[in-house]
Amino acid sequence: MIKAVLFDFDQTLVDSANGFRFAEKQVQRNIFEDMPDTSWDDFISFYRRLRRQFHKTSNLSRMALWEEVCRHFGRPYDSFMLEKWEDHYWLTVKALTSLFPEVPGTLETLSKQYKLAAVSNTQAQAGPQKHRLLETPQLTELFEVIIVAGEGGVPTKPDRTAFLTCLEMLNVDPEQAVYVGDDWNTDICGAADASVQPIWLKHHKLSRSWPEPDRDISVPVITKLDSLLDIDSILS
Amino acid sequence: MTDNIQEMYARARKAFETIEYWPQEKVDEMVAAAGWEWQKESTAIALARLAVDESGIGVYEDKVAKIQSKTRGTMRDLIGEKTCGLVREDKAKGLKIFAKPMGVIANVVPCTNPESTICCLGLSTLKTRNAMIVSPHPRTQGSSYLTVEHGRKALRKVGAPEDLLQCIKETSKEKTVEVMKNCDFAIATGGAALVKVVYAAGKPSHTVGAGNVVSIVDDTVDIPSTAAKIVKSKTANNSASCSSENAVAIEEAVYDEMIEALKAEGGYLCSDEEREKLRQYMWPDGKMLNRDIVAKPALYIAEHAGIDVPEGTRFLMVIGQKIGPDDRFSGEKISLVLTVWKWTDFSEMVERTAKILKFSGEGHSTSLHSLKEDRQIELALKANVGRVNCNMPHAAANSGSWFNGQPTTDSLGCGTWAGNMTTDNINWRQFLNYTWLSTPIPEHIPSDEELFGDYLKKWEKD
Repeated sequence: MIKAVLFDFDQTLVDSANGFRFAEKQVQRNIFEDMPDTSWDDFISFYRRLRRQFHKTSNLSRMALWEEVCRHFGRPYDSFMLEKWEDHYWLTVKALTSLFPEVPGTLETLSKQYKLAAVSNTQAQAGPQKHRLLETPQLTELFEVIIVAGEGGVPTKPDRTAFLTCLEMLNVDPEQAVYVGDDWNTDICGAADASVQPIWLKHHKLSRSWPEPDRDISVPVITKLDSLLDIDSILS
Repeated sequence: MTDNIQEMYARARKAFETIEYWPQEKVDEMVAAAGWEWQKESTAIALARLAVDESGIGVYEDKVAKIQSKTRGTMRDLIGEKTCGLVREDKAKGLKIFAKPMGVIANVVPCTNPESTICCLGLSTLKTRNAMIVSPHPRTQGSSYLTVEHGRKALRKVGAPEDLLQCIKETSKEKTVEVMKNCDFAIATGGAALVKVVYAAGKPSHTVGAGNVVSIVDDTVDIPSTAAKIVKSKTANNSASCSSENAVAIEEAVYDEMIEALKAEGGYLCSDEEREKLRQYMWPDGKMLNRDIVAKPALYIAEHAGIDVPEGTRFLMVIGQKIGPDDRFSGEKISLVLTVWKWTDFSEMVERTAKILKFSGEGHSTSLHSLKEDRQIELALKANVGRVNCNMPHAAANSGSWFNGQPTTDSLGCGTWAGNMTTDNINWRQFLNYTWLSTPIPEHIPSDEELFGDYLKKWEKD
């Protein structure tokens, strides 16, 4: 019997895809502006390659990525500049992030029947800034537990530690919970590794290409969050 | 993240009550913090990029310059002004006048200036110890939200309550009406349709009107430099500004020379056939302006209208034929299309300008390039506009610049001609209440002679 529903944050509860896309584009243009001897194609292909490498090693720090890009191309930079870019980056992400419209009503209803929690990866942001999830009181008040993986000694998803820590705090067994997320690797594989039933949210408002699963995991797919109001039929 | 207008108002009200009695020094520090943050190059770049990307209108470089100059210009206007406590005293009349804030102000922002409108009005409302809730345009809500986030960051830095500045995240007509109904005062920058919505909300408010600037040129000015000024203004931000020239009216004696000078600056004069193609593209139903042309490059407009223009064309010109709905080119176009008129008698041209404005843009502004002061005064006396700007690039001059004394703003009051409460360039003065403290003075009852002396001398008592 399902007792708890766990959620990812970005592209699950909120639509921040445009925010991240635009914020990153801004920084790319800022970096490239001071590189007269490099072509945009060379720059962007290196940038993307390096970003993939960082993500593979769970290094989510934007400042570290930008620093490495600057160093590679000999582009002048200093820590003040990196901090300023990151500051603008997060302000832009925040400005272009919005709740999926069905989220408040769905969570409100689910909270009457299930324990709710959030497990999100860190923003890897320098300084004392909080994860954006913690700045949404209308959501956080419905969550019994919030885990920001990558902070406080908890490794980032897809490592199963974050999921298991959350379940322990909820006092719920893995088979009594479902985890809802959008990312195949960090969310679906991570939850499965923690023996939690994943539910793959491919939200209909997002325009993106979804990866082909590279593991044999039984995972139901939903396209909007209010489908969770009938969890039993999703799982059956 | 969801917009609960009642909650936003409650937070704004709480923030307002925190600063309601702050002294001038503390207020000025808060204003400087927001101004500094908004005028930073990195901020202006981020806001301009997002605004152009979101809306698809305007020119990135022009937007960066505008955000910076509007913010700094507003700061120039605010420096040294007293907006807190006792601001005026008339000892002879026993009066002390105290400035008071209004409370929470709703600010409805257009997509043409989704950032700089907030910078100008945000500084003015902070200077007057008010809170502000922004209702952004649906096309540019991210840009407006980001602008407000920068302002909030600056407020946090100096220990001021960040909820003095808030922005609706996902806007809608219903939320815009709701925020205006809930707030204590509203300022809305937009066209005639918005004016009706604002007044229907039933709160005290300032609104603005549509532009349709006619720039009159006579034979006393240097033609090449005048053409350069007009084109600089016309092409700025792809004519997104309501202060951009919509028509140029040239004295016959310098007509050919001026047309050549405009061509030399990148103008392309459409033939009658091309004019008709352009008309059909710009007003497909004969009435409503095609929004797709707003603040788009001239080459884009020409291509979509099916007109071949030379490389380097910066704006299109058409000859004005009639005034009114029979010739939509006589009205506001918000695009890189300039209507050309010819005149021989200045007074007749002033009357013609009045007719053009009656059709579109009454109350807004008009422009004159002439060294004759009597002509400047004649136009100012007869044109029903809030502003007449002489011998300047109009778009840059009209809402405040470093080379004239107009107050800096992005919101131009157009008076009762446009259904507005004021003809002012909306600035901090519009966001204050005043309390008049009165104490007795020696009684003096004026005589008939003092009150009616001149009249009685001429007309006698009966």
